[in-house]
Amino acid sequence: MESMLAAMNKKIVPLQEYFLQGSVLDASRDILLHRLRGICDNIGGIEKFQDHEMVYTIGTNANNVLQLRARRALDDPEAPWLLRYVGEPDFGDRSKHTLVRSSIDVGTSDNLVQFLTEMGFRLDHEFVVSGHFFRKGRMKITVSKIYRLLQPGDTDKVEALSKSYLVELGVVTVSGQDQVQEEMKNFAEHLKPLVHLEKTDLRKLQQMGT
Amino acid sequence: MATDIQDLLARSLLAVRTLRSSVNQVFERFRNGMKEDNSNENKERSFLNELQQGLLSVNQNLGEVEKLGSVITAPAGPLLSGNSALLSLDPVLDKTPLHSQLLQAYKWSNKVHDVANHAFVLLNQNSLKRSTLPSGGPAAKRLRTAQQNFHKLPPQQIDAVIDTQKRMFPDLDIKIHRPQGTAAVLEVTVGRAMKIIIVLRGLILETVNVRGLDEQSFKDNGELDIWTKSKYLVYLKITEHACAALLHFYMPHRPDIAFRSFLTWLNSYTSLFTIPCAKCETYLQDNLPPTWREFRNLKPYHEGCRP
Amino acid sequence: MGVVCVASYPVPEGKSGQQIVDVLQSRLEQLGAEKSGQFNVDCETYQSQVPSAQNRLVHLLHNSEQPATCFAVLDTGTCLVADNLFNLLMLKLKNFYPTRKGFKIESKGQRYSLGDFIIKIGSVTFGQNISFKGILVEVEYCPCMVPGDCWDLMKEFMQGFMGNCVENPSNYLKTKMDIMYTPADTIQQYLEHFKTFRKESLAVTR
Repeated sequence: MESMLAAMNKKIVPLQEYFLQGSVLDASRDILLHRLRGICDNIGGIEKFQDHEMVYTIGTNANNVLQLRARRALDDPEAPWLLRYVGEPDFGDRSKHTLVRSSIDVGTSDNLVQFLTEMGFRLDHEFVVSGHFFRKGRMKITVSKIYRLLQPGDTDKVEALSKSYLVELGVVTVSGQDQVQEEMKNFAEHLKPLVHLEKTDLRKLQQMGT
Repeated sequence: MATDIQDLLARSLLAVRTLRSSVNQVFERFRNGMKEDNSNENKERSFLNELQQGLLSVNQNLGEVEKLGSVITAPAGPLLSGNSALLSLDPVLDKTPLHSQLLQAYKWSNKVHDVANHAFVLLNQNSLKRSTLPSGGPAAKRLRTAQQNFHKLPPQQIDAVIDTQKRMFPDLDIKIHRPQGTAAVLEVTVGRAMKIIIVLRGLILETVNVRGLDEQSFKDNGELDIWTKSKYLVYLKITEHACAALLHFYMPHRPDIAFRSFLTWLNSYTSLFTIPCAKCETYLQDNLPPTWREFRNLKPYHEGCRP
Repeated sequence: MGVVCVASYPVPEGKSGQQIVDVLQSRLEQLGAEKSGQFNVDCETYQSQVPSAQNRLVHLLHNSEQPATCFAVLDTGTCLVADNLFNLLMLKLKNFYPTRKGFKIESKGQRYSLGDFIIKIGSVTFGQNISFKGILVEVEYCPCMVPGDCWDLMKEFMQGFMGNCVENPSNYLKTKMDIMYTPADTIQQYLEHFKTFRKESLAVTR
């Protein structure tokens, strides 16, 4: 424990995620993939992924709620599960080019769901994400479609939520590395006008939904 | 005329030789120094007398050589000396040390012959041989007739034999790999005790390597890892025993029987950690379980308790 | 990865723990064991304040043999094997699962290797004032992976330097006799012993 806190203080532990989001219609997805294949690192060809993500919450009080995300790879049953905590990004900060939120990623064994339910977490919602991912330096770019499960727990019967793909550009690194935002902004410039990656203000989206 | 010249040449060569010997004698006289027995004056005078005589003889010989040399004329036409003249035509004779190289080659081949003889004598003393055939001497030459072909069997036949053996031993899980060409490499998992890599040549067992269940059989690049030794002492010991078993079960004229006997012996290792030694009835000796299995009755023994 | 048996070595009256540890270490060195470093197994406990899961305890254990791993064990028996960042995650959950103070227990000591065996002799200390509670000896036989196969072999080995203190395998190990052994099983054995030590110390203080 002490060594973990010491590492955190020395800023070795990756705890913050800088990210930008955008979307692209189904018809334009292939052009975007071609563009990305050209500008990104090409190690090992096109990489696809298909994950099943379950979001658990604990706490009933409106102020005191914690959300954890459990993610497993559907195409590779041997891969470890991922347990993720993400915090709220700071939307009001206009000086930064990207959105910043804290994140903790933990790899775990496959009894994660049983563990979380016994601890008192309950399943809030779940979905399947499927698409392609690319790397450029330390940046990770995913072009993915989100599917809704028609039956809870059955990942074969899925239905797409929209006719577009979500494009995300993210970097998980230690806190204080603001120069990474410059890299990300420059990269986003390369992808215009196919897709506009920007700091989407989720609060506005939520207000639109309600 | 020819005999004259030959005669002249012979006489002049003789004259040169006498000159050389008289010069040698003078220098030897110088080297020996004065004798000890006479008195001082006599010693010096006798020494000087002898020197004078020697130098006079040298002078005489030199005069003879000059006389004979002036008589000899250079031959008119080409010399009829046949092929031996061609040796003198080589302009870089000094740079090609033919004679010394010939000598070296001869000495080397003699040495190789001697060393090979010694090696044969020493290696012949080893009684653990793969074959009972004589490997040197006249008997070996007589037995060159019947060639065994069991190391050149087609791969389908080998696969068929291995399949039949798989059914006989339910505890052995045999996987066949062919990393290079047609020679098969078997990866056999013996119960829950160990994993063994067997390299075959046709149906004849070549080498074995025993490792633990948690050790990787494949290298990082995906190739089968045959040679990496185990990191556990138990399996190193069993690898040695397996090599001894290979030699014991070697039957070139009936390789399928040999293979089956080897697999039977290997099958007895499913009880590696569970059975105590048959002699001392303890599990551990020197921190190792009973790693030896008798070839005839498959009883477990510690290496030190072997009958 | 081999089979591990964790056994508690009783400290007779009148002798200090350090003396017994020294005796065991000298016996091992006479058998020919070589020192191969220090080891440390520690456990922290968190208690739930969630209404849906009352009185649930989460034990967070670390083993120096697997330094990048954090083991989280619930009192229902589920054991989660996770990265070291899980510690930070538990800190984030401190509103729901605060640390139970004074419950930190650890076993640390010298690690020896003898042939294919690894032996660790640990002194168990409890709480803030580091009071000595007992001795835990851990023996690992690396080549074998199934406890049922090599239990007799390990018992003979342990009798060689510990005497007759281990007759039967612990309750946890009995359930795992025929399955492949994993590091999480070692942790569960340690937890069983730690719980016994805690109960003893609670009984003493009352």
